[in-house]
Amino acid sequence: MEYRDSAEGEAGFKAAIGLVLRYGVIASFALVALGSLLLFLEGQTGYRPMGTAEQLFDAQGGFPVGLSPLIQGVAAAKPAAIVDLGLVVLLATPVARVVISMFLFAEERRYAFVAITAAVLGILLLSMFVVAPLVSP
Amino acid sequence: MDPLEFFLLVLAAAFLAGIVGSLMGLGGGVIVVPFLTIFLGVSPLLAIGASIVSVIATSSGAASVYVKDGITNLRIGMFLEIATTTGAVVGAVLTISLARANLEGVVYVAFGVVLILSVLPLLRKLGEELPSGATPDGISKRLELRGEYYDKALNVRVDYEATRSPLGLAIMWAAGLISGLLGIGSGALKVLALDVGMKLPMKVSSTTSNFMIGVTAAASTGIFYLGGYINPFLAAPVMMGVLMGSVPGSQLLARTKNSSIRKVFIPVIVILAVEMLVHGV
Repeated sequence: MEYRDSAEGEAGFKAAIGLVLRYGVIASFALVALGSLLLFLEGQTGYRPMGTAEQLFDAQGGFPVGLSPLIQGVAAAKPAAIVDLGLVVLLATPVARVVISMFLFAEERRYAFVAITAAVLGILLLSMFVVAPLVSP
Repeated sequence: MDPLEFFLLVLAAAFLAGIVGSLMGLGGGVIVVPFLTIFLGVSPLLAIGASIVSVIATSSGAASVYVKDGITNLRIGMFLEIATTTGAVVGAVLTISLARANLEGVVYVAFGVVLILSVLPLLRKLGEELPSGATPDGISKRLELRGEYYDKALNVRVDYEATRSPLGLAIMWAAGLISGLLGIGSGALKVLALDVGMKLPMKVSSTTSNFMIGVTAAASTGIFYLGGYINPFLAAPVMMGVLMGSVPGSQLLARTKNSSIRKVFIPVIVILAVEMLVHGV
């Protein structure tokens, strides 16, 4: 079998992986920093008053999780929602890397690796959308 | 404590953890979790959730640089990520279950044991820089788990082929489990699976391991985040601090040739390990 190793296509995908990782982390950092700054400027999380350090940092839950509260919260510039968006961008960064890898392997015609990558993507999605709701408090 | 004071304290501690963690090649998580739980009294589950977020950030940041140098082996990494992500899911579910059953002592003890074990590779170098005589196993042959790179320091082209893939998968599953359970990157164990287990060159092992850490951490972070176990305002200073600390830390590491600087911090890790064990028992 002839593989197209170190072809231009592969180099392009590797560059894309590097860019996604780099800008994913930068965007996430910027959003998390902005949300934190707004928290202390406004003195409230957007959902409840800031309270003491214990109430703010050691509270489990209390902040809505999910896509629609996230979008509404960001639209309303709620500090907690902006930090959350940063965390979601960060979480999406490795997932995006896996998706690009799938295209890379397809380009190289390594179909066994397209299947392996699809399996990893499947495990990631399963963990988020099947396992997480099961262990939610 | 005033929330702003607390935030800045965590930010500063995470920054130091990022420097020391990347200098030792262990990552910031192993230092930040004991600090948050023992010194600031944060519950283990929230500390683990905040730490694992920082693991994604540092791993992705470093991998973005390494992937272009051509040493990272994407195929071997992706193949083994099946094992690490599966292990991470089990680890995250386990740590949540233990916390809900008020068995957090088990998590503390496991953390202490893993900390002590992670010091061992720093005392004695395991694996070889350029292993020789590795015969590929069936999986390695079929999936072509091999590669080559140009070693600038040694001025040679290095060809390599992975061996003992099932052993590699098994150790990687355990590495994923520990990563999900304790909120750390578990890089030391991943490197062990690659260089000692599958006999890959040291440079390939360290860059490929780092590349895998982010995806592994994403598998457990998804569970912690969507399950509601991540406090955004705790995760924020931990992530920003560790990430900012890892930049000067890794630059310092690249400049120091010998491993003496790593050994300076071994007592710190041992003290943290003992604290975690005492806390758990």
